[in-house]
Amino acid sequence: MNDERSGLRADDVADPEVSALYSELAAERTPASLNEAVLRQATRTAGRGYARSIAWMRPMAWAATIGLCLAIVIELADVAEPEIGADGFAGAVRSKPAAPREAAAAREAATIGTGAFHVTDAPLLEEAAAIARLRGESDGTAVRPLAGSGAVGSGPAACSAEATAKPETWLDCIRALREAGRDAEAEEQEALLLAAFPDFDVR
Amino acid sequence: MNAVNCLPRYPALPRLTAVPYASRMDRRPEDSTLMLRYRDGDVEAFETLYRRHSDPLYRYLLRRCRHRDTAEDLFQEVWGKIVKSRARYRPTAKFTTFLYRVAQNCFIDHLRRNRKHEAGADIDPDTQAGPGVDPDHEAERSLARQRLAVALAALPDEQRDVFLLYEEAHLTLEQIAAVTGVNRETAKSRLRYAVAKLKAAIKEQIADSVEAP
Repeated sequence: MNDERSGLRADDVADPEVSALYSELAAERTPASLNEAVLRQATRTAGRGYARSIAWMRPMAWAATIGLCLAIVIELADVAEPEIGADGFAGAVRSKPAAPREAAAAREAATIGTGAFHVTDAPLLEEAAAIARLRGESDGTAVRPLAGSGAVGSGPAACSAEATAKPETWLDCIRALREAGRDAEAEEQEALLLAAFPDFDVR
Repeated sequence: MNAVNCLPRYPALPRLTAVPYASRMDRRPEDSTLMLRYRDGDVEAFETLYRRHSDPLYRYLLRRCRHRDTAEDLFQEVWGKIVKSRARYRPTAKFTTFLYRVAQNCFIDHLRRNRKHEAGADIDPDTQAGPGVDPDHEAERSLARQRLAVALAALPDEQRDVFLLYEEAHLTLEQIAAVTGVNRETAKSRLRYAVAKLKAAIKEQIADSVEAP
């Protein structure tokens, strides 16, 4: 008799004499044919259910694995993309020196005026543009020369490398260009200045 | 001084049998564990579970229906439902409560379907004598068993149900209340009435035998 039963006995509801006599009376056993029938049904059903659950779970596991792999690949691709306007740009250029990517970075750097470049990025940009230009000459997709890098470019540089080393001197150069009536070049240099020093007040 | 004497002396460890939880280490698996294993495809677990509960359930149904064929049909129906519901089984309550609740529902459904159980009982009261027992004493016990069987059959359904759940399924009053869908006090009251009537029937038989010359 377990603890729960002894607890019930304490209620003085049951009678030991009746229980003892009943246990003598209740001697019937389940017929063997009934046992066989139930166990056969249980075995048959369990096998079916188990097979069904396995069949259900395998494709699910494969789909989950493939989905996870795709998510990881997409995530890695996103991390490798250069982000204009964030500090991750330089790191991206360093970690992935492939020419098309650098060319794109250089192109964006030349056209978007909101990039966050530091002075230390200039040599990298210069290198990237040089590689892109070399590649571009072969397939005809040459990128524009990087301004601010003086030596880079087919024509005479609007502002020299010394001038673009500091934002103040770069701005002086831009003002000089404006005074000389070379407004287009001045605009371009100003855009590059803003790209390189987004926190610099050009006004 | 030898090496053994150099060892530190530890107090004697208690004997394994004296540790309270030692005896629990090798106890048989819980019903709910077996059911969960069966849910995961372990047929042997079900067989163990079935062997544990088949005879009490069979006797319960036999005495509730008082008709062997009906009891066997219901027995198979109950286990069939247990088998089919294995995927939905959650060990929130004791397995025995779950099993007898299913049995209770099957019996009620059976009552709704037909009134076959109301026909005369076809189960024989147990009269077999145990081996090596005094014949006079055994005859007396046999008579007492017959009286008990008759009195049990004469009990109202609710009282017989509670008594059988107590004696066969070994359920507590709370579990009986859960199975039968009544509160604990009602279950207790029914059990008290059932036991009192059965006891009275046995005592009546003893009184008869004393009075007889």
